[in-house]
Amino acid sequence: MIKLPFKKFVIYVITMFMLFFIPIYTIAINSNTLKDGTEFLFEVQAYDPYDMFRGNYLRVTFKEDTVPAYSNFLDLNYNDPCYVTIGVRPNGFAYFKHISKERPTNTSDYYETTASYYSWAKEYSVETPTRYYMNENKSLAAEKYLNDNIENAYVKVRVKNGKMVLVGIYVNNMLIDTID
Amino acid sequence: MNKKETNFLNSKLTELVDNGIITDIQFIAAKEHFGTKKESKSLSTVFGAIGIFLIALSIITLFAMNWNNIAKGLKVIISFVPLAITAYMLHEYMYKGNKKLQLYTSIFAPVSIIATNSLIAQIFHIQTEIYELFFTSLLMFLPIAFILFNKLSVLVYSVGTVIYSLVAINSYTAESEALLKTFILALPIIIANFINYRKDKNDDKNILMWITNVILVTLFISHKEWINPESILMYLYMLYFLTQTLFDKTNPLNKVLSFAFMFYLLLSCTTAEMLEFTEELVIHVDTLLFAALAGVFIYLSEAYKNPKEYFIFAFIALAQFTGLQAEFLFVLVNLIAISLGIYKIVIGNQKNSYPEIKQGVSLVLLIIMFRFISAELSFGIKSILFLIAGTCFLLSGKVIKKKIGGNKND
Repeated sequence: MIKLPFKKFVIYVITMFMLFFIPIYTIAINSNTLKDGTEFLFEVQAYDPYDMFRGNYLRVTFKEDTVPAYSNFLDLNYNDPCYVTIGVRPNGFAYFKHISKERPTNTSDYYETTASYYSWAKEYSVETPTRYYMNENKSLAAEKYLNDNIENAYVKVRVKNGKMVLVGIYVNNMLIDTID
Repeated sequence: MNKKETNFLNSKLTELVDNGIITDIQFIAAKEHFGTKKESKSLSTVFGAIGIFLIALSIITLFAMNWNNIAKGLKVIISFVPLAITAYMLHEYMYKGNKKLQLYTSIFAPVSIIATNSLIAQIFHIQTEIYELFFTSLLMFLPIAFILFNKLSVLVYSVGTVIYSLVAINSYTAESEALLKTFILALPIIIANFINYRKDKNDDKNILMWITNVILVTLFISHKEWINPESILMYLYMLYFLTQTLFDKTNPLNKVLSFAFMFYLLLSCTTAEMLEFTEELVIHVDTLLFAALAGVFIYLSEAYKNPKEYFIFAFIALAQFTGLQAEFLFVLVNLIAISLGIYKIVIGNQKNSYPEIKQGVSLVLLIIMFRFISAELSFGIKSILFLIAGTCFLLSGKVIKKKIGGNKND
C-alpha cells in the first residue's frame, strides 16, 4: 500500500503540473513565434474598447481580412478552421493569398484561423488578431491618433507554423506605445 | 465533543432556528453551553477571507496600472507570482492541515489563476475572448478544488461555471460548443456531489443544494433573452432561498412546489417561442407565470413574514413586467441590493443572528463581483476602492470576533 505522504506528494506534483503547464506552454509558443517567425506588415483600422480582466486595448481590424476563393470554393461554415497563406505586395504590405482546409506543406508562412463568412464577391473573411493591450491612460489618445493617421498606420506581426503574434502597431513608422 | 458531534449539533441548532423553534439568542446560549464557539470563529474567518480577497484585488489592479513601465521579462516573472503563492498555500494546507488556509486558498487560488492568465494574455497580446480565459482558468482550478473540497471551493468553481456559460453562450461563439464546454465543466460538480454524499450522508446540505441548483441554472440560462445582470442576480438570490425549502423534510409540499418551480424555469427555456402570440404578450405571459409561481413559493416558505428580504426580488420582477430598462433603474437596483446586504449584516449583528449576517455578506459579495466585472473605472480608482473595502471587512471581522468572543488562538 502506498504511504500517505507519498500519495500526497504525487497529488501535489500532478496539481502543480496542471496549474503551471498551460501558462508556460502559452508563453513558450508565443515567445518562439516572436523570436523565429517571419515578419509581416498589415494595414489596419481601429477603435478602443475595454476588457474586464485585461484592461484597455486597441482593437485593430486588418484592412484586408479576406481571401479570394473563386478558384477553390471550400464550403466552409462560420467558425470552421482553415489555413491561409500570406503574400507580400510590391508596396511591402502583406495580404492573405490562398485559403485551404489542410495545413500547407510547402511553407511555414501560413496562419491557422477560422472562417467568418463568404461574400458575394467570392471571398472568405477570416478571423485575424484584433487586440493590442496598452496603458489605459494612453489608449484613448492612441486610438484618436491612429484614426487621424490611419493611412500611415500598420501592424507588425510574426508568423510561424500557423501562429500569428502581434508585435506592435506603428503609426508614421513609430510604435504607438511611444507616442505621447 | 468531537468534530462530528459538533457539526451535528450545529446543523440541528441551525435547523431549529430556521423553523422558528428557538430564537437566535437561544441558539447562541445552546452552543456556548456545549462549548462550541465555531460559528463565531467561522464568521470572523469569513470576514477576514473576504478582506484578504479584496486587498489582493487591490494589489493586482495596482500592478495593472503601472504595467507598461515594467520590462517584458520582469512582467513574465511577476505574472507567475500569484500562482507561486497559491502553490505555497496549497502545500501548507496539504502537509500541515491548516484549516484556515483551506478557506483562504479557496478564495485566492481562482483569483491568482485568472490574474496570471490575464497578465500573460496582455503581455503577448494573446487573442482570447473572456469566456476562453474563464474556461482555461476553471480547468486549472479544478484539481485544487478537489483537493480543498470545502464549501467555498465547490461554490467558487460552480459559480465560475455559471459565469462561463453566461458569457460564452451570449457571445458570437457556436452555441453547441459553449454548451458542450459547460457540460464538461459541470461534470466534475456532479462527481463531487456523489463523492460528498458517499463520504457523509449527514453532511451539511448546503453543498448539495448549491451544486444541484447551479447545474440547473447553468442549463436554463442558455435561454438568451434572460441574460442580463439583474435577472441572474435575482435568480441566484431566489435559488438561495429555494434551496432552503428543497430539502425541507418537515413540509413535503414545499419540495414538490420547489421542483415544479425549477421545472418551469427549464421548460420556459424551450417553450418561450411557442407562446408567441405577439412579442409583448410572450413577455407578459412568461413573467405572469413566473410571478404566480414565485408568489406560491413565498407563501409556502413563509417568506412573507420578512417582506423586506423580497423587496429586491419584487422590484426586479416589476421592472421586467413593465419593461423598464432605463439606466437609472440599473443603478438603483444595485444600490438597493447592496443596501439590503448591508442592512442584513447590521441587523444580524444586532440580533447575533449568523444566518442573517451570512446572507448579507453573500449578497454584498455578489454585487461587488458583478460590479468589478462590468465597471469601466480606471485601475487606480478600482485599486483604492478595493483596498478600502478589504480593510473594512478585515476590521469588521476583528470587531465581530471581539464582540461575540471568539477563540484567542485564532
